[in-house]
Formats: sequence, C-alpha cells, structure tokens
Amino acid sequence: MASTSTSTLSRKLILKSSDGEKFEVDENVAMQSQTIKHMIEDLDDINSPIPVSIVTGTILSKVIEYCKKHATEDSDSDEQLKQWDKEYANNMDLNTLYYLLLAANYMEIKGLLELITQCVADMIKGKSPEEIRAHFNIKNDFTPQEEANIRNENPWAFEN
Amino acid sequence: MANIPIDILESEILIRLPIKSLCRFKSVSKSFKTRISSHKFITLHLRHSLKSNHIFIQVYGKQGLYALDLASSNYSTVKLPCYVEISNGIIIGDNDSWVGCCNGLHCFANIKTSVYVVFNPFTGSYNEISGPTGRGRESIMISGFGYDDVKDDYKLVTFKPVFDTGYWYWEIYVYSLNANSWRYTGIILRGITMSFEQAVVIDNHLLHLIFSSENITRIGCFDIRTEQWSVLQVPDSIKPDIYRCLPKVGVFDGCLYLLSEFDIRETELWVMKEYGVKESWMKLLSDFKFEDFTPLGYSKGSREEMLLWDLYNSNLVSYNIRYKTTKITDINGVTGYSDNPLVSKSFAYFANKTLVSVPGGKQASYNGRCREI
Repeated sequence: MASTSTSTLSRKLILKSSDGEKFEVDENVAMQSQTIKHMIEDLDDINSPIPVSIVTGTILSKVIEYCKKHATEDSDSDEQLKQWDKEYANNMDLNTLYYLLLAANYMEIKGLLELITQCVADMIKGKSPEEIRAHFNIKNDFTPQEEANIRNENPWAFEN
Repeated sequence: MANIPIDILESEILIRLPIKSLCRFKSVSKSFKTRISSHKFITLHLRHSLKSNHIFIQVYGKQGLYALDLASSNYSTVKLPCYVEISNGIIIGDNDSWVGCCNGLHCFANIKTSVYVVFNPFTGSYNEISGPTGRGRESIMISGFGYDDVKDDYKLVTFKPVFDTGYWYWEIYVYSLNANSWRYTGIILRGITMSFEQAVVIDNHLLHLIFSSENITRIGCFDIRTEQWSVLQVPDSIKPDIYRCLPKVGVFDGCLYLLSEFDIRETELWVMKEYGVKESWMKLLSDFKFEDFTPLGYSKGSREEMLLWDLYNSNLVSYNIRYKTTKITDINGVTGYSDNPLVSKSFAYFANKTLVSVPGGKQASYNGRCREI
C-alpha cells in the first residue's frame, strides 16, 4: 500500500498558465481539477506542459496552493482545514477573488468554487439593490412603478 | 476588474444567500427577479437551506412567530414579518393549533372553525383550507402536514373521529394542495385510543401518531406517498401509564422518540436509532423529569448536551447528559405570558427558511416590521 501510493505521488505534471508561467505539481494535486483530470486522460505525452488557457500565473499559483493543502488533507482535522480555508479566502482582495472564482469554475474544482462563492455571498448579502447593480455592473431595467411594486411585496426585506 | 458571468452569479452565488437578501434582490433587475422566483431556483435554494436549521417559536399572547438561528453564536432570535391573513388564521400561542412544517411551509389549524392555514412566513404566500365535510366531529380532528416528493405535492392529512353504533372510529382524509381538494382514503381505524397530539413527521412524508389498542401502545404511521397505514413497534417496557395517558412521540436528532412518564417520578426518553427496527430503540435518558419540556435535539457540536424547550416559561434549556446539569440559554426577549394555566405558554419546532410558495396560494398583506430583538 505504502509503496504504490508513493509511486503515484511522485508523478509530476507541468501546468502552463495563460501568460506562459510553468508550474510543476504532483499529479494528485492537479487531479483535484476535473478539467485537468479529463485533459490527462486524453494526453499521449504526460511530460508536455498542460495549458490552463484562461488562468494567469498569479491566479494559478493561488489555485495550486489550495489544491496542495487539500491533497494532503488527512494530516489536518476538518476543523483545521476549515480554518485554513477561511484565512485563505480572507486574504484575497475582491479582484483576486473574482479571478479565482472564474478559475475554479473553468478548472472545475468543486471545493474551491464552493469556498469562493460562499465568501462572495457573505460579502454581498447585506447590500442594497443599488449597491448590487453598481457592484456587478447590472442595468436596472424596471420602471419606477414596477420596482415599487416589488418592494411592497416584501417590505420587511428592505428594513434593517 | 473581473466581471463575474451572470450565470455563475445567479446559479452559484445567489443560492447561498439568506432569504431576506433574496427578497430584496428581486428588485435588482428583471433577470434577477425571474431567476429568484423560478421553481428551479427555489428548489435549489431549498436544498441549500436544509443544511441550516432554525427553531421557530410561538409564544402565548404574542402575535406571530420567532425564529432562532442555531448556528449563530448567541442564539440570536428574530421576530418574523407579520401578515394580516396569516395572523388571523392562527390562534395565538395555542399549543393545539400547530399542525406541522415542511420545506419552510408552516401549517396551523383554527380548532374552533376547523380552518387550516398553510403559509410561508417570509414571503407571505398562504392558503386557507376548510376541513373535510361529511359526518364526524371536526372539532377534535388530529392532523398532519407533509410533502410527497414523488408527486411534488404538499398534503394535509386529517384523522376524523366518527361515532357510530356505539363505537368511535377514525377515518383518514387527505387534502392535496395541487388538486386543491379533500379525498377520503377509505382507511378506517377501529378499536384504538389516540392522543390529541398532531402527527409527527419524519422524512417529510411519514406521519406518526401514538395510539393504544387493547392496552398495548403502538406508533401508527401514515405514508403520504403511498397513502398506506402501518404500525411500528415500541420497546416492550412502554405501556400506557396509570392514568391511561399515552407516551408522547416526537423527533429528536432525525429519529423518532418516545417520552413516557410511568408516574410522576419516572420519565424515560427512548429514540429509535434505525427507522422501523424495533431492536434499535435505545433509552437515552431515564432520570430527567420532562413534564413541561419538549426535547428538541443536541446542542451544536456536542452529543453530551441536549436542547429542551420549556413550554411554560418559554426558555431554551441545555441539559448536560453526563453531569446532569441544566442551563437556561438567554434568547433575548422571547418570554411567555399566560393567565390561563391550562394552555401551554409557548411551543417550539424545527424548520427551515425557504422561498417555497404555497401551491394555489395567495399573497397576504404585510402588516408590520420584522424586528430584530
């Protein structure tokens, strides 16, 4: 058992970001991305770099940091891992968070996607509709009357 | 700055928001409103909301409901929005009027008028349902409320007592909210004595009642999917007490429980660890006097501490099983008041906060602030 897992662990893959930066990672770290897992299955030569086309080097390094931590999760308790996740997400500025969200979505990393979306949800839950529009660049396509009608349906939701 | 594709925003982020934010964000844009109001979104959000549990509290003499968030550090309690038609449909604080709750829809019955009201306290979606007509006494009906996930239908079930040729028996009626009508199932229960407690629901679709037949205590189960009546075995030691009172049945930590008071000194709390298996009944406690308490579940993250609801003083009480100590948890401001010693001052039950609408329902008129207390 020990010898097989060591040989699996020792297999290395090279990931290449959209701006050409290369990262050497253990296979079990990279395999947390469903997208990469599928790419490897179709790949003839495992030694050639795997392009992660829409993700920049800066963001990819953050993604790998997350995957590394979660590839060796048995060494930490659930509670410790949750704490690590929390600090990981809290250290990002909003812009990085959004790029990470796009990367997690593209690379299909379920845990990371959940972590980031929950973090964004917590950030926006207290905002007003006006703030949401400004924040996500959404156009208000209601007439003032339509908007007032919606407010009157659930006025309590607009109270503090 | 990166733009989050509207698709990810709506499908991944919005489903994680509390319902207060969602009701507010309906006014962001037409696309937001359509998405948040769609059946698909409401179902996805429901699945998410099942992960967090809230205790809903009704206090005698106080209008409306309170919700207590078990995940919050200080058990913060919120008074729910008041809607005129819904408040009128509930006899305030009357223990007997609560029927059940399922997927965020609450069901109460006005015992005097035999009118049920099913509502979502957050959206104000509601419907009033008159009890089944025909022979029998409406005033002492026993009811239950559940969800048939196979037919995607909410159902109200009524056990109606009928007196005929010198005997009492019970007829089972089912109201489908999709069909908007009552139907007699043809099931008649004879020769049994029931407690006038509402049905206890497991898995949304299994309704349970305690009864005795020829001095043997049993739990009856009505499955609203199949509309079949079956009987579950109780531990051998459970018998009706000296006053012929039946044990109480309820749900604790997802399992069916039995609370039996053999006499005033002896109380036993049993849970059925594996549903439907007689051998899995386990005695959880035998030394706590439960008279005025309802067991709710374990405290967060601890199997040593139980949460109990104190019916007469409207307190949330933690009971430490190992050290046998009790502690009253302050739930800021919800206290009971009753000048009638015969009615419980309050009661509490578990429920989720959802956006689910009552099928065929109407919109109630909003009547007051949702106060943080």
